[in-house]
Amino acid sequence: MAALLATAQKVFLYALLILIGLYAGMLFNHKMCPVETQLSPLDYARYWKIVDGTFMHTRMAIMGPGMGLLFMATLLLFIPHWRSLTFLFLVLSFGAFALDISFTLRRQLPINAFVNALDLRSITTEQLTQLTQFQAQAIANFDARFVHSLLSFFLLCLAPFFLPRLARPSE
Amino acid sequence: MPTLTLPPMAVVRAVALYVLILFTTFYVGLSFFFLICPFDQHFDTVTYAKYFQIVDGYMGRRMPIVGGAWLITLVLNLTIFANTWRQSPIFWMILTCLLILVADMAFTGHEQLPINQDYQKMDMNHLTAKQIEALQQMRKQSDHNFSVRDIGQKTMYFMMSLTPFLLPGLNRRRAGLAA
Repeated sequence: MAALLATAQKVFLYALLILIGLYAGMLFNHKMCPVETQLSPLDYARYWKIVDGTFMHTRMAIMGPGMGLLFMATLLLFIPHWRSLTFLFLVLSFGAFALDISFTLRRQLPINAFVNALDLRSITTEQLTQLTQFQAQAIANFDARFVHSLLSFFLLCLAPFFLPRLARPSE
Repeated sequence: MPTLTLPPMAVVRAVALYVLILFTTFYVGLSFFFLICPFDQHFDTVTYAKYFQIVDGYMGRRMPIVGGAWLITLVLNLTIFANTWRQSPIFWMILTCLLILVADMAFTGHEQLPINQDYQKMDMNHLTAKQIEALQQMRKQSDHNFSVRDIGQKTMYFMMSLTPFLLPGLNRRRAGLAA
């Protein structure tokens, strides 16, 4: 039973590391290559309608809860080792991840909904002003999300290095 | 909390591997965005070219730094793990990763950089019919190049993410205990 639990812990932690790593890397893309900063508000809206409206809105709706569930399952598996550093890093990483999700829901989703609802063929001056503000806000949001995801991944990446068996002595 | 009584060299190996995993993840994660969100497929040839010019403007300056730092980290890890080659697959995984990265860099330099340079030379606001035709070919070739590079990058990512799970075995073997 103990061996089965140890194997399950490693498999779940590995899968979580892969997913959270890809998520952080995805946000690193925005930091490394901030295309949105080079676009006019209208070009930004066209671009964002494809990015969010066509792809990310539906795909992140699967990947986001998927990451959350995997996180919780992994945390549950490590509860028997709740005094280990692995569990501590898992909890801290989950905290940063939860912060990111909460931030995204509160700050970014309203912007996405606004851009997706825009009819760019008959945009009003008011809408254009709002769009310009939202573009700047979205760029700032992604900078903040990059920090959250970076923190989450940095902490999670420490977890496998402190697996209970690693603490055994030594050369 | 457990007492950590690892020898200094085991700590150095763990730290080096941690840094390596971070670099690997960020390098590979860059392309994951395009996998989950292939928005450029919805662009016509000229819009795609304008977009590519912006992206390459950033990547052309920044990737040599990220890629170079990753390469140095890999070589450093290979050196640190060199004397463990008999005791753990980690050394061989790092070596494989290094070889894939060198192949990836050579492939990029040979196949993709000339295309990027051609994109940068074009004035996207005054394109001739011949240039648009050339852009279509360049786009096809770029897509192909990125899909080829993707295989190697994913291999490196899955492999490097596995290495910390193999460290306890290596530490035990180094300590002369049963694996």
